[in-house]
Formats: sequence, C-alpha cells, structure tokens
Amino acid sequence: MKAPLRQSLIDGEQAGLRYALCLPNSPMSGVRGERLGRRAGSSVDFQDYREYQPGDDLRHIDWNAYARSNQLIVKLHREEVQPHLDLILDTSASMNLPDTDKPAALHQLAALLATAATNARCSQALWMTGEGFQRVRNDTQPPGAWGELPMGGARSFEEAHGLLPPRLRRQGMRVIISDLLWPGDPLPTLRKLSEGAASLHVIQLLARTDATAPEPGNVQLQDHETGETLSIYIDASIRQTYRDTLRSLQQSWHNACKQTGAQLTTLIAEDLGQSLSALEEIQLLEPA
Amino acid sequence: MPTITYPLAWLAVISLPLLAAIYFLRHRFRKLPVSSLLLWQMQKESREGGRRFETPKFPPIFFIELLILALLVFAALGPRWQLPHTTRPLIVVLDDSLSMSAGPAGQQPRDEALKLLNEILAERDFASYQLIAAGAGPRLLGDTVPHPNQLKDQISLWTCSAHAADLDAALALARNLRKGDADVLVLTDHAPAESDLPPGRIRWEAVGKPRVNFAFVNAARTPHAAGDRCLFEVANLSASAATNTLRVTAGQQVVYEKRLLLETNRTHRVTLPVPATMGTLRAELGDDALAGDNRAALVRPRRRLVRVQMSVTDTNLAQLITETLAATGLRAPTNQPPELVIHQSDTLPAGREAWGLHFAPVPEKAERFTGPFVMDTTHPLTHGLTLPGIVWGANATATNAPGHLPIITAGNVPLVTTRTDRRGREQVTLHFAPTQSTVQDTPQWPALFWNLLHWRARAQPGLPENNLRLGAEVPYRPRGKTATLTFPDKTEQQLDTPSGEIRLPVKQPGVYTVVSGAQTNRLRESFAVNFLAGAESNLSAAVTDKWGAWGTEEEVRYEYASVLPYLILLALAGALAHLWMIARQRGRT
Repeated sequence: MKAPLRQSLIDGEQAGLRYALCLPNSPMSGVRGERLGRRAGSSVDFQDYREYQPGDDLRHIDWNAYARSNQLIVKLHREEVQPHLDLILDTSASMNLPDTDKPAALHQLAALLATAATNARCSQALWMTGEGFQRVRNDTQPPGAWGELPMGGARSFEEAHGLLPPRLRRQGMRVIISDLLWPGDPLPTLRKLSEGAASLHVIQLLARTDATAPEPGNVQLQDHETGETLSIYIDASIRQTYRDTLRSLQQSWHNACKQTGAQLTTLIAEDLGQSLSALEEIQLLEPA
Repeated sequence: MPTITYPLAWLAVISLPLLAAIYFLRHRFRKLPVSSLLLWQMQKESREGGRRFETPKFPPIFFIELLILALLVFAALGPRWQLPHTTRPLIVVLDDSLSMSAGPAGQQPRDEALKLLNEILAERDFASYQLIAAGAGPRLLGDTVPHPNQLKDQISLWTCSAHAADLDAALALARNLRKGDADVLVLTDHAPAESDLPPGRIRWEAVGKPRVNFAFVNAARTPHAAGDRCLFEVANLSASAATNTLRVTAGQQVVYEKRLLLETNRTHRVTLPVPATMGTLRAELGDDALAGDNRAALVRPRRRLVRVQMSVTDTNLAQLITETLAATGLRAPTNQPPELVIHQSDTLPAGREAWGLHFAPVPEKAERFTGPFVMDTTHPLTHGLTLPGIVWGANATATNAPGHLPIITAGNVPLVTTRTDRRGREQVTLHFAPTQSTVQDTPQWPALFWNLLHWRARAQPGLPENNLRLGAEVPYRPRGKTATLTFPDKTEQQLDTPSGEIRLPVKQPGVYTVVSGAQTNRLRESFAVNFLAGAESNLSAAVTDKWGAWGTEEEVRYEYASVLPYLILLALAGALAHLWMIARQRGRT
C-alpha cells in the first residue's frame, strides 16, 4: 500500500473519531448487542404476549396472567442487537484516477465511516469491487489494520455486482462510495442493494476534474478504466454539453435513489474536509 | 493569375507555417486521463472504421490570423490582378447636332440612338457612366454616375440643336477624362472620318438614315446706296433630286416664291434687291426631314458710316483723299465730332473718339520702292491688299517710331504703321510720297482707305454685323456698362459689359434684339442668326452602321490593375474580426 493512502486511512480514522454513525429509526437486525432489534429477545423492554409453547424458557411465563386466565402465557421482550454497516467501495480504475485525490479520498472516507460505525457500536463489513465483490481483509479491525485496498479493478461497479454481489447483512446499514460513472440505468442495481437494508446511502465521490470540464483546447481523453481514447477540441459549447451530461447523470441517480428510499450526496475528493457536513445532512453521520 | 511586382516578398510566406507551427505546438492534443468517457458520449466518434489519424483542431482566431497574414504577404508581393470586363467605365459621346433630329418624331436618329443605348446598358454593366454632348464643342452633360438609371436627367439635356458636331474634340475629352481606360460609345448619324478606330476602346454606332432635305446654306443682306441686296442660297442636300418651295416674305408681303427642282447637292441662289427701309425678310422652305434648317431671316443691316475730318494742307493730296473717301461710300456726310482725322501735323488729333491718319512728311527726293513689300496680313488695314507691281514712294531714312506697329514695310522702311494711344484710339501713320508713287493709281489705294474706314466703323458701339450664321461669334460694343438681350422667344437677359466688348450668348437661330445705353442715347439693334450649316444639313451621308468594338474578354485579361487597397482593407476587416472574437472570449471567461 502506498504511503499516502495509508496516511489517508489514518487521517480518516482520526476524523471519524469525532463522528458516530447515525442509526436509522427502524428496527435493525444483527448479532447480540446493545441496540433494540426487531425480533423478540432478552432485553428488559416488553414486546408482546403469546401462548406458551414447549421449549420456551419457563422464566418468561407470566404467572399473574396464568392466575387470572389459567393459561400459560409467555411474556416476550425485545431482543438487543448490534447494528451492522456494510460499506461498499467502488475500487475500480475510475476511482484510482491519477493526479487527483480520488483514491485518497476513498480511503479517507472509508476509514472515517468505519470509525464512526465503531463509535456507534456497529459491526462493519467492507466490500470492494474486483472480479465480483470481495470482502476487505481485516475489515472488522480498525482501519489502520486493513492492509492494502487494491485499487484499479478492471470491472466496473455494475459488472462486479453482476458477477458476484456482496453478501450484505439484512436490516443493516449500507453505504456505497463510488463515482457512479457507469452506463446504464442505476435503478436495478440500487433496488438490489436496497433490498432488506435498514438504510442505504449513496456517496458520489468525484474528482474536481470529473465535476468540471477541461479547459478549451485540443485534448486526448483517455478512459482510465477501459483505456479507450477520444481526441477532441474542447470549446465553450462542448464544455456546456459536458456539464449538461453530468447533471443529467446525477439527476437519473437522484430519481433512482428517490424510488428506492436511498440518500444521495456528491462529494468532491479535493474538498473532502469541507464536505463532511453533507454527510450529516443526509443523516449518515452525527457528532460522537 | 496575378502579376507579382515584388517576387522577393515570397520570403514572407514563411510566416504562415511559422504561425501554424506555433498554434500546433500550443494546441496539440494533451493527454488527459478521465474517470470515464461516459460523460463524453455525445462527442465520442465511432471507431468502426478503424483507428484514424487525429489532427489538432485550431480555434477560429487561428484561421483569422492566418488569413490576415496571408493577405499581408499577398499585399507585399504587389499583385496586379486582371480587371474584369465590367469594371471599366463607359463614356457615351452623343452627337448633339441638328441632324440627329431629322425625320418624323419617334424615328429620329436621337430616338434610335437612345434605344440602342438602353440595349447596351441592359446587356452589360460598367463601373460608371458619363455622357458627353458633341456640339460645336464637347459638353459634359453631368457628373459621372455609378448606375445607368441616374442618366435620365442628363439625357434630357441632349437637345440636338447644335450647328455642328465636333466628335473628335469630344473623343479627345473622353480620353482625357479616364486616361484612355474607359470604353467609349459614340452615337451619331454618320460614319467616322477614319474607319480605323483605335482597337478595343471606341465603339462607333451610326443610326442615321439618308433623307430628303432642303436647307438654306447662305443668307446675306448687304446695304447699297439705293437699297439692300439680299441673297438666299438653297441647297438640295438629299441623296436624290427633289422639289421644294422657297417663299420669301416681308411682314405680310410675299417678296419671292418659287417651286424648286434641284439635283442632289445642287444649290439655287436668289438675289433680291429690296429697299433699305424694308424690315426683316423671312425665307421659308417647305416641310422636309429636317425642320431646323428650313427658315432664314435677314434683318435690315445698320449702315455704318464714319465721320471724317480732313486736315491735310497739301491740296493735291487732300483732293486725292477726298475722292478716295467718296469712293468707299463709308464717309458720313456730317460735321459732328469726327471719328477719323486725316492730318499732316505731328500732334495727335483732338476728340475722344478721333482716330488719326497721319501723312508723315516726305523729303523732296523720296525713294521709290518697288518691293518686296512686307505686310501684316492679319491686320484689318491689309485685308484684300496685294502690292506686287506698284511703286511706293517714301522716305528711305524713315524708321519705325517707338510704340508703332509696322503694318506695311519696304524692307526695313516702314510705310504704314499703327499705334494705340492711351485713350484706346488708333493712330495710323502713312509714309507716302504721291509724286513718287503709283499706289494711288491702283485699286489698292481705295481698298486701303476702305479697310481703314471699315476698321473704324467696327469700333463704333453696336454690332459689327446684323445677319450672322449660327455658331459664329457675335461681338457687341454697348453704350454704357450693361446691355439687354432679347431672345427669339422674347425672353430677356441682362448682360454686364465691364470690358467694353462682349460676345453675345447666341445658341439658337432666330431674330434677336440687343439694347444698351442711357434713355437719351439708347442704342437698339436687331440681328438675325440663321442655321446655315450645309455640312450638318446634308443627310445624304447619314448611315446606319457600326465601327470599332470594345475589347473582348480575352483582350481585357491583359489589362492589370493593382488590388493592393482591397487586400489592405480585407486585412483590416480581419483584424477587427480578430479583436471582436478575443473580446467576446474574454467576456465569456
């Protein structure tokens, strides 16, 4: 792992100490923990009554109710679970754009969210693109222990999801970090990712060169993901067309997020430090 | 292809690839990795045809700069480009003589010429248009105009009333106007004097037709002792024999009437003795092709007599002179203040208007000169004189006095001299020894005195002649400083006469009246101006034909002109466009 990227992980971890993940109001699922779950459990919070069935813990029988009704009634309590965060990272080549802060911002943001999740007593899992989605090694450990995040995968986010989707935990929080620059309708992918999720947040991470069109002149554009090139003379009208196309792409993602109940925000990699408030606005982070 | 004046300027062409190289280096494709070409989908080109060579695209200002540079380089070469055929100006020489109005209305040469002119103007465009009327002298009908529609006002000034058409002078004027670069169109009714016109410049279009025409070619009225003698000369100027009627009237009285049958180019003279008291005689011919030359008028001529005072002491000489004066018939029988004093004294004669004829003293032994005699034949005194065979006795030692102009000399001995004194009077000196001469026995002697009296008479106030040809100058000495001229159409014009003698503005035939002098000493005279131009009235030579031609397209290609101003203007326009585009780009950023 390159030193700057390691430094980004450390920076992200330090920044994340100030935040906690903002958990959704809806009941969540997970391993035994400290948060109320959606199912019956062993907490002190009453949930419901039901008839006794063989195998039920005799300590949960409500004897007062038995005295009144001569029936064995079991008192159910809410379970206590530990919330879970699935952090889905787009580590394709487009996120490793040279001469930009995009890969560093990805590392920093992932570390920040993981640390914020720890602060919120959430378990976490990091998924990254490659030949399908793969789990990052040591992702349950603090970011400094993650080791190398292999950037530059040949598959796009959509292709990787098609090959091998991530095994996401049900009723967990899910956060996608990607530049969202792939062709096709985003709605099918978003539907799959939002299925069974307590919440879904989409963070579009762009380099400044992605957000703004290049200066006028002759330019040979090279797709960093596919290697394809395009020689073009950029003038004012083409710059305007570029801006319109980007706006249209973002609008299509916005519409898809609206339909799936996801939250979308766009961050500029070079301005990440000043953009964290946007994550609070979409109720992903809150001060710790 | 243009002709290059400065071939070395081709070296400046190197600036063009230099500019292109600068732009190429500045605008070559710079590699720029992007996250995805997804956002460039609109500009993405199909690669199905294989990989293609990408050429850098330059901004529009590069092409403007390249154009400006190319124009400046081209201007530095000094190109001389061929002139298109239509960029030559047109000068139309219009025959303004009377013969252009021959024939019935609508079929006159003027109408045909206008029709032809309109056809030519419809066929071709010219850079500019100029009309010249060729009358007795060339006359510009207006300014040069850029469009043929603007010629209408000028064409209305083409009246066809002149007594002659000096087309050569008009062509010379046309050449001077445009330094020979213009196409010249001549519209007349006759052929050019020389069939070989300068090639490529002059197109001569004759639109005349031979027609039957009788015309007055001469008309005169001379006073005699008993009365006046009138002469009318009529010519058949047609291509064939024809008849016409001549009628001469004086007021309501028919003086002469005759039916004439004349062969072609034959004349008929009518001499009519009329009383001196008879007023204006008007002669008229019957209708023919040209109406303007069918009328003539002869007014009563003024009898100009000179008051002569004899102061000659030599009785023989005095008698000789007196008899000679009587023979001329120009001496006035009056004793009023003299207009001519003939004397032998050395002093000038008295009187404001008195000219002098001084007989210089001659020694007893005078020299007899038999010639050769030298005469100033342009002087009024020598008109009609021929001196060979005579003997002229004079003082051999006589010399020409200072200020005297010798008129007749025998070698270096002056015989007749003149001098104009400070009052403008002429003082004639005659070196003459009657006893040693035979001059007085010849017709030259009364002729000399007739010339002297006639010269003096012409210096009197008024008109020298009362019946004139159209086109001739009409000198007039008024009494006083102003004169009033009444035209044949009864319109009047006031004339200032600061210099003593003026030329009356006579442009059309008819009877005029001119008045000058104070109320108590008024001088009123009438004079007739007649159209007596046989050459112009001659319609037998009128023809419809065409001579010469303008340069063909191939010939015109050899005519080159500099296009430098246009190149500089284009370069300036390009520079302005360049400035505008740069300002626009700055405004956007």
